[in-house]
Amino acid sequence: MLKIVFNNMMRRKLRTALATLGIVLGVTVLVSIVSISTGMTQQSLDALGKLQGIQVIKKGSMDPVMSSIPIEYADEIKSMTGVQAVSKQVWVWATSIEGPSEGFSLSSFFTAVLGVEPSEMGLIKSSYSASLIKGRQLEAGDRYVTVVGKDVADEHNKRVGSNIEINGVDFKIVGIFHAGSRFIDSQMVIPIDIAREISGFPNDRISMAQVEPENPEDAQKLARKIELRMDDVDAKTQQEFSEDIGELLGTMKTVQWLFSSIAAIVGGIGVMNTMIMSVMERTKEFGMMKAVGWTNRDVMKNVLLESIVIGTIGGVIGLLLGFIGSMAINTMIGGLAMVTVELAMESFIFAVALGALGGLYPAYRASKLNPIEALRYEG
Amino acid sequence: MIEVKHVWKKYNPGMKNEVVALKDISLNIERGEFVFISGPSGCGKSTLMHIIGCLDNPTRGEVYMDDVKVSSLNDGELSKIRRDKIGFVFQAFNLIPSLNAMENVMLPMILVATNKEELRNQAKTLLEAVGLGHRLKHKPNQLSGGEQQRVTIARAMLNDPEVILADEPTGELDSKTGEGILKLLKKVNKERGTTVVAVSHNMLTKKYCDRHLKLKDGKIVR
Ligand SMILES: Nc1ncnc2c1ncn2[C@@H]1O[C@H](COP(=O)(O)OP(=O)(O)O)[C@@H](O)[C@H]1O
Ligand SMILES: [Mg+2]
Repeated sequence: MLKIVFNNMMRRKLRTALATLGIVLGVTVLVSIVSISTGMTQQSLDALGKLQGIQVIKKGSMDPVMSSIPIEYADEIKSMTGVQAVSKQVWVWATSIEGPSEGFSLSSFFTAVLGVEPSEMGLIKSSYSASLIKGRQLEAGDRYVTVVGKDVADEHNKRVGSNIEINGVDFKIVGIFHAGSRFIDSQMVIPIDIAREISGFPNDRISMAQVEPENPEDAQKLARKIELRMDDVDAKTQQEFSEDIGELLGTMKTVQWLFSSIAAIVGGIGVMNTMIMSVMERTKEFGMMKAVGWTNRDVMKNVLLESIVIGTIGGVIGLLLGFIGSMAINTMIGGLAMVTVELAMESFIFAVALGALGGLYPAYRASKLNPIEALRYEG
Repeated sequence: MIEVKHVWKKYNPGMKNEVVALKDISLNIERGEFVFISGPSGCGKSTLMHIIGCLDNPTRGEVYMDDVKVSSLNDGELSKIRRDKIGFVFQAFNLIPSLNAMENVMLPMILVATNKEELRNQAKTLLEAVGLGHRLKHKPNQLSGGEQQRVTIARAMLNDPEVILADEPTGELDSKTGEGILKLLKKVNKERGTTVVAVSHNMLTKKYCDRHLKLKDGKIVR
């Protein structure tokens, strides 16, 4: 039976290839999209786990880099009850590290430069100090020195003691941290005055105030109190970030679902189309198979098998391409896409199911062919 | 062995384009007979073959295969009868283009045979018997018309059927090759005792048959 299936597929190589291509396309799209979003999810969850305290930024800004609030807010928050410590931070786009980056690179897209007050860093729990793996923290009196994330150090081949150029200014690396999250490990920490100096960020403003509550359980309440007191800020706790990310993930799921459906339709229709044509073309053959004793079910199975084989081949190739694609994404932007075993299995099953589904109707048609009509000699 | 009792066949019954292809045909075919059916084009020969071959139902009347009423059988049972008791040989050679000669001969049993080796041997023996021992692995398009028709005869013989139904088996062949096919059918009929029913315009068939039936306008005229 398989032999018949393969022979037929080979006989119409181009058409089989096209049907397979539909499935390949579907699976490739599926694998790449899901692998990226799985990777992103993993990264965000990692980062979230590392987040500490409350982040106070300008209301409505998506990222500290785009936020600016009056510096007095930091002192005002500090004076509130329940606040242990506040760290003032100035966030700067890293527009150029070791010279302007050529073209778009997502790793530099993630890279942020944080200006902090070294004396304040000891007071708050921070993922940077917690995950220092080499060298030391920033200290009072430091000027053009930086503590960088491991990803930055790795990408530019730097170690403690090396110089690194940030937005045209040379800094000396005194420490390296490794938090295990792509978002955090692409950051660089420098003294806040220097951050102002290289970016022109005004002295009377900061990007963000990181607040350490006396009691972590009260974080949520404290955040609300801060927002009440200063009505132009967002104060977010780790939990609230989780909720935000949860929403984002929900959106990603929808997008994934959308793409998978498109992939399914493209792949399924491709197979169905091929199989219908193939069945019509072989009307005579199926008629003859029935005349020599094949049952309707035999004929049906034969056609179904053919489309399942197409699905399987398409699945394997698509998986391979999707895998290569996500590896390419990874080398381009670094460790973002993740192809999990589940994803591989799911998309493979998806492909086989597509093949089967696409073959269902043609198989039914073939099984219902009237052998006499099929055999009637028209010559 | 095969009894056709008062069989009528109408195509598109009750419609404007109704065609009465068979009119009250009754016919007994005995085991081991070689029956030759002739008649002008459109007189219902193929229709009769299809009904005898359990490929189509009569509009009225009954067909009995070994005393079994064909109209009482379901699809699966009909498939089995076609597989085990009947062998078809058609005018258009009706081979699967993607399969070689051996595989084409094996086709009826290819899904159900438990012993593939034995099936292969059978196919080989049959092809040798029809004189194609040297063409086992050839695809239909690498075979001549006569050779292709021999392959279909080998296929028809696969399950040692009770009857081989041949609908214009020589229609596409030149007269010499055609006679070769008739001789082959006769040989099968003689040596194996297989009943043969052959529809043909080829009057040479007369030479080989035990009985000659003439069909005209859906009726047996002799
Ligand atoms: N499926 C069909 N629908 C309508 N008419 C048919 C069909 N099959 C055969 N006929 C008609 O029935 C008659 C007998 O056909 P057939 O048995 O093929 O004749 P023969 O084989 O003797 O040439 C012809 O008039 C033919 O046109
Ligand atoms: Mg005919």
